[in-house]
Amino acid sequence: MSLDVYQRLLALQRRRAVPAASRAHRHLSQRPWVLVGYHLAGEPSAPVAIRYGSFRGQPKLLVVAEPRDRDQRFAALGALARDLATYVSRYTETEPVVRVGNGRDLDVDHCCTDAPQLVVPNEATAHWLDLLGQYLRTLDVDPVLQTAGAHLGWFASRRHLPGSSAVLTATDLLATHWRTGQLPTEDGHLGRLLAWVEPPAGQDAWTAAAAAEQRPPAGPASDPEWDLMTLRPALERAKQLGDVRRLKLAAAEVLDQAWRDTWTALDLVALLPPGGHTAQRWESDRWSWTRHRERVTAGTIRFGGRLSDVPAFRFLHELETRTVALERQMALDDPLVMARWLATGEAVAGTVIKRDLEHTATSARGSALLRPLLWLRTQGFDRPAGTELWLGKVGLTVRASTVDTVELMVTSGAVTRPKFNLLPECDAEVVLAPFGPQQYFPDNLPEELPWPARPTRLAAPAGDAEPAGDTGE
Amino acid sequence: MDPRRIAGLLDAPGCRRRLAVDVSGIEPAVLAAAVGAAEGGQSPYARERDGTFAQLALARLPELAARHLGVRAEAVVETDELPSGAGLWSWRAPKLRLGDTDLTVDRVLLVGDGTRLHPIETRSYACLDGQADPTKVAGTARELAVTVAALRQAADEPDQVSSACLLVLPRNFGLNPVGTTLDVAPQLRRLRWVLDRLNAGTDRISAALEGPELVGALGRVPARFGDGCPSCAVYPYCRGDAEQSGAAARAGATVANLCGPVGLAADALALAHGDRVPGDETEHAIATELSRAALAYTQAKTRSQEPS
Repeated sequence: MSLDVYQRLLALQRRRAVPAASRAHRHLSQRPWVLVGYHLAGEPSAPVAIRYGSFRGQPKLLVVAEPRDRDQRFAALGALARDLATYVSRYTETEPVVRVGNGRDLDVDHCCTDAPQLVVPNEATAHWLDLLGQYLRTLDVDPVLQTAGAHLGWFASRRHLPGSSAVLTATDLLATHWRTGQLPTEDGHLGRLLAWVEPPAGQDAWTAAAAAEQRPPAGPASDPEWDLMTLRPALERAKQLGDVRRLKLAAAEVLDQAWRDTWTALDLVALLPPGGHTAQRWESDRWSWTRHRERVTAGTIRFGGRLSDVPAFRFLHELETRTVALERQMALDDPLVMARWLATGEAVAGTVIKRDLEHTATSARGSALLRPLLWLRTQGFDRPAGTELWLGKVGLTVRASTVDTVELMVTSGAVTRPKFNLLPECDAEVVLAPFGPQQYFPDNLPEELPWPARPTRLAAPAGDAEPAGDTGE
Repeated sequence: MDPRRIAGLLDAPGCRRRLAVDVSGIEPAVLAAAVGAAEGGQSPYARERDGTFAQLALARLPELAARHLGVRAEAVVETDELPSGAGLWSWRAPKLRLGDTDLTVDRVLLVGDGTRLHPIETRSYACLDGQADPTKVAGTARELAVTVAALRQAADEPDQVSSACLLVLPRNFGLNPVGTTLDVAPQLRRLRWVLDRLNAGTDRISAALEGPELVGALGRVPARFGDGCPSCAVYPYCRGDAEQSGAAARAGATVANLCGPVGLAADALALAHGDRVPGDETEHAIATELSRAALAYTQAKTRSQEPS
C-alpha cells in the first residue's frame, strides 16, 4: 500500500523508524513467559542453552552439557517442562459467562480469566518451539514432557491465527507498530529492527543497525564461529570434567542480548495505549486456552498432522474471517492504521459543510423514507456513486462527488429522528471508513470444497508402506 | 561456482552486478574480504550432522532407489564419467560445465533406470510427518535444477538425464533417511532465463582483481538492489552503496516499484510533499499516489494525539 511506501521513505530520510500505529494492537500480558535460546546447529530437538522466565531480572538459564545425549537432553527438557507447567498453572481460575447456546437457550459456561502468553525474539524461535513441542509429544519417557508438548502445541496452533496474542514475537510486535527504511527481510533481525526503532543516543539507524549485526544472533541458530570457538571447548569441558560453569557463562553472555531486546520490544509497545478491540481478541485466546486446558485435564488432547477436507476448509475459513476482522478492528481502533485506507482512497476524511435532515427518498412501494443527506469537504475523492461508507454504526452511500465535495445519503443506523444525534454536526471533522459493523460469515459447507481444502489424490507412493513406529530416533 | 550461487541468481532478477560477479568466477573468499562481508561458514555441528547423515543415506540408497524409482541395485558404484544403463553411481568431483562456467560439485549421486539417469540429493533438514520446510525444499530444487542442467550439457543426449530427482531427508527428529521424488522441470525452465544471461554475460570483472580495485570494478557495473539481496555475496557493498546514495530501493522492492524511475528517496519525498514539480506523466502519477499517503499520514498523526 502507498502508505507503507511513504512511511518507509520517511524512515529512510529520517534514519529512524516512523510510527505505523498509535495503539498497541496486541494484548500484553502482565506476566509473559519469555524464552530465548539456541539449539545445536541443524538439530531443533537438541537444545544447547535456553534462557526463560517471567521476570526480566530473574531469568532461568538451562544448559545441556551433551545435547546429543538423550538422557541429558530429557533431564534439561524436563526442567523446562516443569517450569512451563508451573507457569501455566497460574491460569486455571475461571469465571462464569452467560452465552447463547443451542436453541437460543442461555447457557452458563466457564472461561479462564486470563491465559498464558509466550514471548520469543523472532519467528524462527517461535517455529523452533513448535518443533520442540512436536518432538516432546512423540516421547514416551515422562508425562510432564508430553504435557509440555501439548501446551507448546496449543501455542503453535494459536500462532498462525491473525489477531491472536498467545504467542508474541518481538520482531512482529515492532514491525506491526513501526515502519523501518530497510529491507522487509532485514526486519526479521531483532537487533537491527530495534536499532531502527530506538537507536542509541547520537546514532542514526544505519550505524546502530550495523552495530547490532555484530552482536550475537537472537537464535535459535547460533553463530557458526561461536560454535567453533566458544561452544565446542565449553561443551568438551562440560563433558569431560562435568564442569558446566564455562558453558553457562558463555551461554548467558550470548543470550543476554536477545533476552534484553525482547523485553525492550515489549516495553516499547506497552508505552502505547491499548487498542479498543484488543481485549475482545484476547477473549478468543482465553476461550481457546480454557478448552485446551479441559482437554489436557481430561486426557483427550490430540494433535493431528496435516489438515484436509472439512477441517482444512474450516481452518481456511477461520483464517479469512480473522484476517478481515483484524484489519477492520485495527483500523477502527487506530487513526494511523486507518490512514492506510485513506491513502488508497477507500476511506474518506473531511469536514461536514451542510446537512439536510429532512431529505426523503421514495421506497419501492411509494412511501416516503427519511434519508438525511450530508455534504463533506474533502480532497481527491475518486470513488463512484453508490460506494458504501460507515461512520461507526451509521451507514452512508455516496450520491455524487466533485473534486472537493462528496454528497452522502444516510442509509442505515440514523434514519429515524431519535437517532439523528448520531450524525455529525456541521463543521465536524469526520473519517468515513469502509468498515461497517463486524461481519459474520457463516461457515456453511459449499457443495464442492475449494481446491486448497481438497485432499491430495495422488497415487500413494510405495513409501507409505514404511513402518510407522520409528519416529524419534 | 557451486550450484547454490547460480541458483541464487534467481533471487535477484535484473541485477547485472550479481551476474557479473558470478560470470567472472571471482573467488568467494577474495570477494568477501574486499566488500567486508562476515566470513560465512558452517557450524562444526552442522557439518558433522551433514556428514553422518550422508553416510547413513548412502548405505540405504539401494533400498530407497528401489522403493521410489523401481531400480534394483546392490550398492553404489564409483564412476568417473557420466554412466548409462541401470544402477547406482557416485561420481566424485565431476567435471561439469554450465555454458562457459565451471561448476564445482563435490559429488553427484545418480541412479539409472536403464534409459534415464536421475540425480539424487541428500540434505540434512528434517522431513516432519511427511512434510519438510517448503523454503528449504524450494532452495534445494533450484540447486538440483542447476545440477541437472549441467549433467544434460555433459550427456550425449540431453534427454538421458531426467528432471525427476530423488531427494533424501532425515525422517522426523532422527537420522533415518526417507526419500521422495522431486521433479525440478519448473525450476529448469526458470533457470533457462539465467543461463541465457550467463552465456551472454557482457559485464565481466577480471578475476585477478583484489581489495579496493575489485570494489572499484564492482561499482562500475550497475546493480539493482532488492529483497533477494541478502543472499548475495556482494550484499554488504551494495547495501552501503544504497545507503550512501540515498536510494529508495534500500527500503525494499515495494518502495522501489512504486517509485519507479524516481531513484532517490529524497526526490520521492519531495514529490510527495509538493516540493518538486513532477517532470513527466510517470512522476505525476507517483506524486499523486505519494502525496495522498503523505496527507493521510499527517492528518492521522494529529488525530491519533486526540483521546479516542
